[in-house]
Amino acid sequence: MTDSDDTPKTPLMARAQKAAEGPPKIFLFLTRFGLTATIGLLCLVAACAVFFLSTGFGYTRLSPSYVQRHTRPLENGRYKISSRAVLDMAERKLRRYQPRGVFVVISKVQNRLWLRDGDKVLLKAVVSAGAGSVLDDPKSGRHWVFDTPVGRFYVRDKRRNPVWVAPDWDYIESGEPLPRNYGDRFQSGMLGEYALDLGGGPSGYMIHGTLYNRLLGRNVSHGCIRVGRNDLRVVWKKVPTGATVFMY
Amino acid sequence: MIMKRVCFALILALFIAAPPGTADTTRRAHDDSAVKALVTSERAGLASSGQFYLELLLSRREIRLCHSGVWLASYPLDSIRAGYPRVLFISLERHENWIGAVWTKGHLSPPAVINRVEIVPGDDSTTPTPGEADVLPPTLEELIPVPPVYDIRFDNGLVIRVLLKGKIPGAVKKKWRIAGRWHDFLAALGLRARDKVRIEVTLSAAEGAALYRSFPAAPPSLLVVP
Repeated sequence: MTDSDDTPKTPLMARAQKAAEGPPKIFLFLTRFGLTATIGLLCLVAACAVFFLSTGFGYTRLSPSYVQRHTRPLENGRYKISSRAVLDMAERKLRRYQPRGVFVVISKVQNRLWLRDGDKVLLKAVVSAGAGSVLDDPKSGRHWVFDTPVGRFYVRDKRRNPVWVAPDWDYIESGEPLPRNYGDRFQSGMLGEYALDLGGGPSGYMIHGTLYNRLLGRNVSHGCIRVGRNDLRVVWKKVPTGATVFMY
Repeated sequence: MIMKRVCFALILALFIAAPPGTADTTRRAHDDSAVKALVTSERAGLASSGQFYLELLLSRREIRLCHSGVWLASYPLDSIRAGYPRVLFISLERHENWIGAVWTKGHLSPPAVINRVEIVPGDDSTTPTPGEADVLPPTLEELIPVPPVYDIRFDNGLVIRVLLKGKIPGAVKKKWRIAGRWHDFLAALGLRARDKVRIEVTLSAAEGAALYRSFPAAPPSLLVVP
C-alpha cells in the first residue's frame, strides 16, 4: 500500500474529495439550463406584456389639426354652389322646423320644466311626470303603463278651471267599482286652476296643476305633467295655444 | 431708371408689409365656412326627421339631445379622446372623415331597463299618487339603474364610450378597465367584433346618468360637430 493511492480511506475523506472535484456534471447542466429557461421565460413574459399593451385600442387627443384632418369635406360637387349659398339654404330649412316664440321643454326623468324662447330660459320649474308604473285589470284583461310620452307636441287647447273626467283606471287602481253614469266621473279641482291640452282626447295628456305639492319632483302622475300653482300661472300666461312642447 | 427703382421699392415694401399667413387665413376662413355649411345642412336634415338626435360638439366639449333643430338638454364632458384599434402600436385606423358626419341608429349598450312598479288595485302604497303622507313613490332616477360605463353604439362600428366619474354609486371602477382592455385586445386581433372609431368621453356621474336615462327609445342619429 502506497501514499499515492487515490481511494479514500474513510467516508469523511471521500466526501472531502468529492467536494474538491466540484458539483456533478448533471447538476451543472441543470443549473445552466434552468438559468437559460428563466431568462427565456422572462423574455417571453416581457414580449407578451409588450404585445398586450401595444394591442387593443390606441387613443389620441383631439387636437385642432387632428379634427381638421378627420372632418368630412363639404360636397360642393353635389350642390354646384358656394358654401355660403349652402349655408343660407340649410339655415332656411332649419328655421322651418324650429319652434317660433316661446316653447316648453320637459324632462320626465328629472321632473323639470323649462320655458324657453330660443336659448333663453324664461322659467325653470319642478314638476311631476309619469310614474312608469303598470296596472292590470284581471276582470277585463286591460293593461295600462303610466308613462309620460316623449317627442314633440303642441298646445291644442288652454282651459281655465278644468274638469277631470276620471278614466276607468282611476277606479280600478283604487279598487272601486266603475260608475254607471258618465256624469259621475266628472271631478273639478283635481287639475288645479289651468290645463294645457296636448292632444289625445279625454284619455290624452295635459300640463296641469296639482293637489299634491309635496310630491312635485317625483314621478307620480299617470302620464300628465303636474306643475306647482305659481309656476303654472307663469306657464299659462306665457305659453300660447299652438306652442311647441318637447318632452324627453 | 429712378421710376423703376421706386416701383421695385414699393413692391418690396408691400410684400414685406403684408401680414404673414394672409393666404392661410383666407383659406382657413373658407374652410370654416365650408364646415359651417356642412354642419348646418346635416343639422337641418336631422331636424326634418321629426325624431330625437344627438350632437357631439368637440370644441365645446358637450353632448346635446336635440329635436327639430332645438337642443333640449346639454351634457358637459370632462374629457374626450378618439381611439382606433391597433396591433403592436400600428394603428388600424381606416375610418376617415367621421367628424362633420352623421352616425346613424344609436343604441345603448347595455340597454336601459325600467324596474316598473306594479300597482295592486286597492293598495295605496303602490299607486303613483299615494294618499298616505309618509309614502314617497320612487322617481325614474331610482327605477332606472345606470352602469358605471356604457356605450352608445352606432352603425358601422362607430361607438361613444361613456365613463361616469364621481363619488356617487356608479362611478368608474378599476376592475372594469382591466376587463375592457382584455376585450379590446381580442377585438384588435379580430377575435371579437371590432369598433372602427371609439370616442371615449368622461362625464360627471350625475350628467352621465341623466344622459343614459333620457336616451331616446327610437335609435337616434348623432352629428359630430368639429
